[in-house]
Amino acid sequence: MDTSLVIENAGRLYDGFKLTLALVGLSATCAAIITVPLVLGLRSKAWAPRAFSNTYVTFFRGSPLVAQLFLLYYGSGQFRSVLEGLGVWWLFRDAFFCSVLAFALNSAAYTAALVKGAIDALPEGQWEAATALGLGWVATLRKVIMPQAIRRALPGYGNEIVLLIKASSITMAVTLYELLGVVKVIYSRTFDISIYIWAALIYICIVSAIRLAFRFLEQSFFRW
Amino acid sequence: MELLGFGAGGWGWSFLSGLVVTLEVAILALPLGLFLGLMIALGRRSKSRLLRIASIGYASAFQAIPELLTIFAIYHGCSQLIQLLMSQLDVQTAWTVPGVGAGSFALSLVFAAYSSEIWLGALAGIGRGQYEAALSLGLPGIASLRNVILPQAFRLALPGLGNLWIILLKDTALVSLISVSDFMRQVNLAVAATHRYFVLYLFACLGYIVLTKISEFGLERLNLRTSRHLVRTA
Repeated sequence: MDTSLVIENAGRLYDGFKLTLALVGLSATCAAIITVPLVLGLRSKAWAPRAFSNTYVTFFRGSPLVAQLFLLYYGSGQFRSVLEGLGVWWLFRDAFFCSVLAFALNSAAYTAALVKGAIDALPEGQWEAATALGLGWVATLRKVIMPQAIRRALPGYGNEIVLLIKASSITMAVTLYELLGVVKVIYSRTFDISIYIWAALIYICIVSAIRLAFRFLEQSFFRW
Repeated sequence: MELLGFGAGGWGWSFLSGLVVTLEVAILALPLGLFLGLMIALGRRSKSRLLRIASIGYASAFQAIPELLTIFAIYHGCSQLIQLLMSQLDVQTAWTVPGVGAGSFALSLVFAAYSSEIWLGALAGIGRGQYEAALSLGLPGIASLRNVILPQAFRLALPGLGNLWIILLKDTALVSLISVSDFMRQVNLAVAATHRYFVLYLFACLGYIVLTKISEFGLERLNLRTSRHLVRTA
């Protein structure tokens, strides 16, 4: 295979690669923060937070991420005066911020369902034992439930991060050129199909690195 | 509301035709995706080391590559291949691959990679005794697979395959980026004409949610049907 195409465009590809990592890193962090209230809502005994969280999860898991991204990026433009009034218009005007927000909202829905499943799978006795020991609700969650739930949710969470990396490639639809966007531009200039194969190899490397990292995490920190 | 209606100035018919194309792309991707996935699962269980490595390589590669990249590569790659062939045959043509075909082919390649995991689990869920019984009946390999193993494996694979179908349905929205007139693209066109961004994109999301909900309902019925012999009747 011809390597000159990659070498000539190395700088551009590297910029795209950095943008992909920034997108994924930021959205994964934001998603983790949004997940916490969502899981609490899904497991809540009151109907209002439960209904809200269930609707949220259904909406974000039931529709394509592209549609959500368009809704957020283009849809927010119609509320410009409101957003300007709130002083956050400069954020919604920015394709990067909108993408991160869309990915975070979407990924949080999947992660919340994952974490809820992991907590539900724990036997009732764990809660009862913690109560019998006189642990409060926060202490029970922190010391008893979460360490076990995280261990169960970890492989699924690794998959979620991989999905996020793959999903980040759709930001080219809102004029944000991450790795695949850069590759598409290079293709439309050179009509050289091999650039797609190089891109595939880069993605395979990134995903393999993530998978290895999660395997390491599972085996070293959660070995019991 | 008249925006979504079927009258003059309404986009109802465009959306409906887009939904048909969306379903078309998804349904066309199924046969090859299921078959190829099964072949890869069998390859991963094979005694041949080479076949095992190749199948594992295929499955992990296509699980790592973004769907959109696969779609672009297939779409542009096939177009170039055909133009190359035509120029070899001295035929002048600007014919490109139809987006529906390229899109559903690309999605079926991805579907195959994910469904191979499901088939693998389903095949492992069938007792050794079934294979041995088929062997002792003198059934050749293909016949034992077709008449004994697959009917049972399909039931075990169904819930997982159902999830993949729903993911596939949502991924079809990506073919709008290679100018296939699916539901997503029809919404984009309506948005470009009317500038009603929020309402129309919300409608798009809800349209896909309706599709996935209908699928979930249908899959549940199918699931009950395939495992009805396990339900004890009172």
